[in-house]
Amino acid sequence: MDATLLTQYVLAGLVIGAIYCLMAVGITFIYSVMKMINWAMGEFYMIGGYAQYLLLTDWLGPARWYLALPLAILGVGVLGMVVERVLLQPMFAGRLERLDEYATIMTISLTVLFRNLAVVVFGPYQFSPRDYAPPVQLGPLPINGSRFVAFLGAVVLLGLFQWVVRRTWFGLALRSVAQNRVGALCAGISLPRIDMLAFGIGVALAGAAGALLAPVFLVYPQSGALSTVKGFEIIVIGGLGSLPGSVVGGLLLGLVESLGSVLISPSFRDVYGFGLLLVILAFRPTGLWGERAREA
Amino acid sequence: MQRSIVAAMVAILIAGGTGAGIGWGATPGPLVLGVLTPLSPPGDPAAGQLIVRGAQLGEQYINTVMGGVFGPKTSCALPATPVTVAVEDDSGTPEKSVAGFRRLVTEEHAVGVFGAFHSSAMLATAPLADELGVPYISTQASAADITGKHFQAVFRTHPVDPDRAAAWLGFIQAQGWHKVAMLAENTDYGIGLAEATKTLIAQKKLNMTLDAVIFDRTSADLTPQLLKFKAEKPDIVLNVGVGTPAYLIIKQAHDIGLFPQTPMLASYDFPVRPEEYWKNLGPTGTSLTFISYFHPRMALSPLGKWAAVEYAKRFHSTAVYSNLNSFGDAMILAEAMNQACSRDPRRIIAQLERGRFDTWIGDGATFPRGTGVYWHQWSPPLVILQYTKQDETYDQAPILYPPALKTGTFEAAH
Amino acid sequence: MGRARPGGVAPVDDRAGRADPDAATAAAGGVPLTRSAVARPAALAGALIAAALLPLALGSYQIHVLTVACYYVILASSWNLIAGYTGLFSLAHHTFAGIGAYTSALLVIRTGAPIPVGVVCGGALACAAGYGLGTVTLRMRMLYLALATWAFAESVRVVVSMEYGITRGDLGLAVPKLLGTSSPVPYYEAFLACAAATVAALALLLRSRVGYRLRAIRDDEGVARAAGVNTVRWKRFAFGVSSGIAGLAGALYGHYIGLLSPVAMQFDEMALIIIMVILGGQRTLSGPVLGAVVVEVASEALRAYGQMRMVVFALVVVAVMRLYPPGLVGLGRALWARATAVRPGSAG
Repeated sequence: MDATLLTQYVLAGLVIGAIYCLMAVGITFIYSVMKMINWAMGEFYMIGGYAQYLLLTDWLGPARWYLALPLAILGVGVLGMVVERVLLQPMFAGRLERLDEYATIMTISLTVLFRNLAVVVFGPYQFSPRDYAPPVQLGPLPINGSRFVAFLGAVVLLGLFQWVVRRTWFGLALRSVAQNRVGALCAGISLPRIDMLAFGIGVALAGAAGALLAPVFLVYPQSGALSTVKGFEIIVIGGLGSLPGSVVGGLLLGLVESLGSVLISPSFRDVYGFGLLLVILAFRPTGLWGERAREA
Repeated sequence: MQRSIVAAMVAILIAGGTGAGIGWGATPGPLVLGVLTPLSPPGDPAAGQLIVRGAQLGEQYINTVMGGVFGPKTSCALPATPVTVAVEDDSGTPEKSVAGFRRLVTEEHAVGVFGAFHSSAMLATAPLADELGVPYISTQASAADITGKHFQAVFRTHPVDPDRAAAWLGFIQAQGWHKVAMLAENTDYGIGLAEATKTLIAQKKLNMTLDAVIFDRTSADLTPQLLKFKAEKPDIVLNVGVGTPAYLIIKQAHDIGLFPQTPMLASYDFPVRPEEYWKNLGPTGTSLTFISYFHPRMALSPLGKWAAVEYAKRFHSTAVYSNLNSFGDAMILAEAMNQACSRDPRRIIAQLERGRFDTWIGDGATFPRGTGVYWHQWSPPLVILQYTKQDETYDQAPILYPPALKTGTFEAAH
Repeated sequence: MGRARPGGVAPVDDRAGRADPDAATAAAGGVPLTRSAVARPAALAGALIAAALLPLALGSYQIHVLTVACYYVILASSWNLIAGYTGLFSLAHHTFAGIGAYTSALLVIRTGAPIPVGVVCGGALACAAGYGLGTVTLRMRMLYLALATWAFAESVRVVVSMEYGITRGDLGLAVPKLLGTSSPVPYYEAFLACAAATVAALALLLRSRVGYRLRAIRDDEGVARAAGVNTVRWKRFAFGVSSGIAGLAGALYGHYIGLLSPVAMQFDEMALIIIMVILGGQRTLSGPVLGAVVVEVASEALRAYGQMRMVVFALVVVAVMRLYPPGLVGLGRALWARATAVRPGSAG
């Protein structure tokens, strides 16, 4: 195996891994605050993609992509907050017995709903905004400009997110809710508001991934499936609720897929992630960085 | 309790709609042609919608231009009868397809069915067509077994995998290329083509190597697979994806510098929809070669010309193969009824085996009891075209293959 | 973490007791216990006989739809056992049906084994796979379990579609038919019998001590263990039994449809099962039955609307979960309770 090729695979793996991270961080963030999994994450990714496409081709024009991006992200975030407010808030009203189950069923239904609604509204076709950046040479790997922007965008957004969570008062509130909901409530934090914002931010990260990747992976009704798959693989590998776990898991997954394709067989590329996941779960049922299970 | 009342009303509405919709006790109406095609996932609704439009065009032609089946131009003693097209969604799954066929035949009393796109759905339904004795034409399902299993009632008007493999291997040979890389999706279409190409190379002992990589249709990042090809330096890459994957292969091969430096041949005619193709790809799409089923230099039949003009009028876009072939299938069924002077499905089947039928291209389709996959099989001609500059439309693109129709030579990218 | 139910100790789930029909009816409507004890089985038997006689009245298309509905009744009911009653929210149920179907089909095709042997082997392998998955996921909490079973399901699907040399992948694996005919009537009777047997077996299971153990595990695993329930054994048991049932059903179904493809192993299929169970009413015996029949028949009736029907189903499920969690069965019970409660009032 020649060294250039190997480097190319490693680089390609890391780039795609960083983009996967964006999905995973969103899922794990929602989990750590609300203790639920959002199965419809991929559909918010898809909506982000459609928003970006419409903004770029119909409303703003391709030149103003830097404007379209934050608008698409904001739009998805607002939609997420509405969904949380209307459909998920009752979870915490104290009347329901099985929160996990309620949230799982609700978000799986939303997956079906959004995906089919996309076909009804936009038709089953694939769309793609034009590339808005020239190709870049990353070491020996030639890389598409939009993909590079997506990679940079992912890194910037993850940094920003980390800053908000670690350094701001709002981040402190989020972390306190993640640690102990009752305690946070006693300290005067409005749980419904934090939940709503957390859900909005989490799905906005997915929307960001969708918007960033719209020119790279095309926009179509099922486009969310892939990101859900990858996002879940990563959070289970990294550990639910662990942000560093998601980042490491994302990069690891990108690498394993890329190297598995070249070392074993490219046909089974999408099975390597699952294999890694099942192996890790069998030995560490809560993932690499997961919190210890506590009996209720 | 008010909630429960509202819920009860919803439940009653659902139940009522259900009972009405499933059609308990439908009565036989006018002459019905059935269209069984994917209109929802996991099938490919984009294809299904095109096929439905073609069928609607067929209905229009039969009722207006022909004056119905058994119309004035025929010598049948039967009264001229208008046709209606009944559409069923097969979702691309075997059980929905079986259910849809049963419904078309037993509830709608369809005298013939066409529109199949997914081979696995059609294969599940083929034995049922035989049992019910109703002709079933594959509009775009390409698996060899559909005709290879010699079903009495099953016909096909779409190129089989060996046709397509023969076309591109012929082209590759003519170009003097030897090292072929193929990226095929894991569907009936991709796998069938990969197998047919392998078989043909072995059979004809061609001086070629084929590296076929199958990928999962749902994966969006094909960079690892394409990087592998790039390292191998093939003479040509065959792009066997349908819809999204077909575009992703072009884009991502371009990103890593594989295409257009290495030529790429797409396995079907998606680039003929210029508004979609160039909108999605822009300059990236230049210099792609692709298989197409028609080109203005190949004379469309009068029927085909009518359909192309009417299609543009009615649907405000260019007619593509799916439209025309579906239209052609409707015409073939109508002509078979005219020739047989009968609306009995079994006599239509017998006539389909005997007669010659005008369709959208060529000098008439026939469905003899041939050998192997060429049983009840009529293949429209295939050409290989190349886009040489951005925003070209397919009628401007030069034909590279077959030699008889050739209007240009392959232009390598710089 | 603070996911414990608000009350701390699990409140007794009122629906748990409904596996006992007499108690439920008595509690809901105050109908005398003795009358109900006779009337209920008689009504059920009557309904079953009526269902068995349906082919006399309906065409082959409707019978086909009802046959498929029976298949989904089996899948939905067996998923309800594991997810609703045991609290193991598995997302691989459709995969076990697929495993059963492919095992049986390949056995019959490759070795020429008789179809019933193939079906039993399919069920057995699905059962073993379920038992295995149950063992691997023993220590996982609800969300991890859901994710792990989902990952298992997706891997199996990808492998089945990629190993097309063996499974024929999306080309479809042609499967010999169970009966010589493709007329749906005999298949319908067979599936109806299987569905009835499944529901009856689940009813018996849930009324036994085992059923109470499973519900105890669902309500609070720690407390159940403290009360002497061998949670490890019974969780594996639930996984094995429900997967085995799914495998048997899948195998039979494959020999009815005559063609297998990995399409049936896509996640959409699992979403459909969930929709059926939730719509009908989770944690009830009749809920999945009703849900499966309504969803299958309605999705056939709404065929012409393609996408829209899935949009409608998803909306209905969202609405049910949000506004009326007991589902159709809960609704029926509430109306019945209301009707029987009003009567004495209006008389007075």
